[in-house]
Amino acid sequence: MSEPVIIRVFDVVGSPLCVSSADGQLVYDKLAPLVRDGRKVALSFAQVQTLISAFLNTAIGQIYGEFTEERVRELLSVRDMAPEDVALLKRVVENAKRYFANRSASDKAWKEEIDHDEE
Amino acid sequence: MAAPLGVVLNTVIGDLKAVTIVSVPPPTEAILRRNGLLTAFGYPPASTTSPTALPYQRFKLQDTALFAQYLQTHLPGKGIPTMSTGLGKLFQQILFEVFENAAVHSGSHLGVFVCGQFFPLKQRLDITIADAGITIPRKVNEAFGWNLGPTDAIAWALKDGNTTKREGKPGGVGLKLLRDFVTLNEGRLQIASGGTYWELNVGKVIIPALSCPFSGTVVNLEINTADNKSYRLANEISPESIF
Repeated sequence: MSEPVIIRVFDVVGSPLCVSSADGQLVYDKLAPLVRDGRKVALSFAQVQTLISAFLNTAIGQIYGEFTEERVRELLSVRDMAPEDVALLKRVVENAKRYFANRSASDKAWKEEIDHDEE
Repeated sequence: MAAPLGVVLNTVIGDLKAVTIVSVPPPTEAILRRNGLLTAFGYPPASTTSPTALPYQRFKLQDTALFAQYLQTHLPGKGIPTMSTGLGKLFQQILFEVFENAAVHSGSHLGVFVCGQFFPLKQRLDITIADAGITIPRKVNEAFGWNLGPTDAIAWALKDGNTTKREGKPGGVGLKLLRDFVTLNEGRLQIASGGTYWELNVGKVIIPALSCPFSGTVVNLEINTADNKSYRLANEISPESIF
C-alpha cells in the first residue's frame, strides 16, 4: 500500500486558526487534485488550535459533491486532531452526505411542510 | 448593545448624512465612552477603560484575523476559565461561527460590529455581533424563490443542515451548533434580523413581535460563565470512522 501524501493544514492556512471558508477552500484546492489522481491523502491538523464548521464544510465537506463515500473513505484520512474537533468533523461529514444526497428534496419537503401549516 | 447602535448610526452615515450624538445622560455617556462607541463619534476617550467591557469595534468582513486578535485581547478576565479547553474553546469556536456567518452571508458593506459586557455578579458574559447586510428572512426567500414569513424563514435557517449556500458547498451546521451550545450552557441567544426577533433562553424559544425592523442582523450571545460542565463527548469518535 502506498503511503499517503500528508497535507499539513497549519502550513496551508498559515495560522493555527481555521475559522474561515476562504481558508477551507485553500485546503480543498490542495486536497481535491490528489484525490482525483487516486492518491491517498492524510490531512494533518497538528498545531491547529481552533476549527469551525464553516472551515470544515469547505475544506472537506464539499468533497462529497465530487466523489463517492466509498472513494473518500478509501483515499482520505485525518490525523493529529483533538477529540472534540474529530466530533465536529464527524458532524460536518454527516451533514455533507445528507446535503448532497437529497438537497433539493429536503428543501422542497420543508417548504411543503410550511405551506401545509399555514393552510 | 453598542454594536447594533453602531450599525444604525453607520447606516445613516452611509447615506451621506452627518450624525452628531447629543444630550446623552451622564451614566450612559460614561458607559459608551468607556466601550468606545462615543469616541467613534467625536467624543473624547474615557480616562479609564472598563475591565468588564469588550469594546465596540468595527471589522471588515474579511477581518477574521483581527477578530481573533480582538478575542485574544479582550476575552481573558471575562469569566471564561481558559480558551484552549472545554467551555472556553467551544465558546471561541461559536463566536467565530457567528462572525464567519456574517462574513459569508450578509454582504454587509459596512462590515461587522462587535461589543460585549461581562457581568461578574450574575456570572454572565454577553457578546453582540451585528451587521448591516441582507437579513436572514430575505436571504432565505431570495435563495429559493420562496415567500416565507420572517419567523418561518428564521426557523428554517436554524434547522440543522439548512443552508442558503448554492455553490456546491454544504453548510448549516454553525447555527445549530450555536443553538445546542446555548441550550447546554443554559445561556441565552437573541437574534434580530429584519422584522424578526427570535430568542432562546434557558432552553425555551420565545418569538415576540419586533416593533421596528432592524436594518441587518444582530446576534447576541449570553453565556453562563458559572457553567462547569464537561464539553467533551462521552464517547470519543475514532478518526478512522469519520468518513
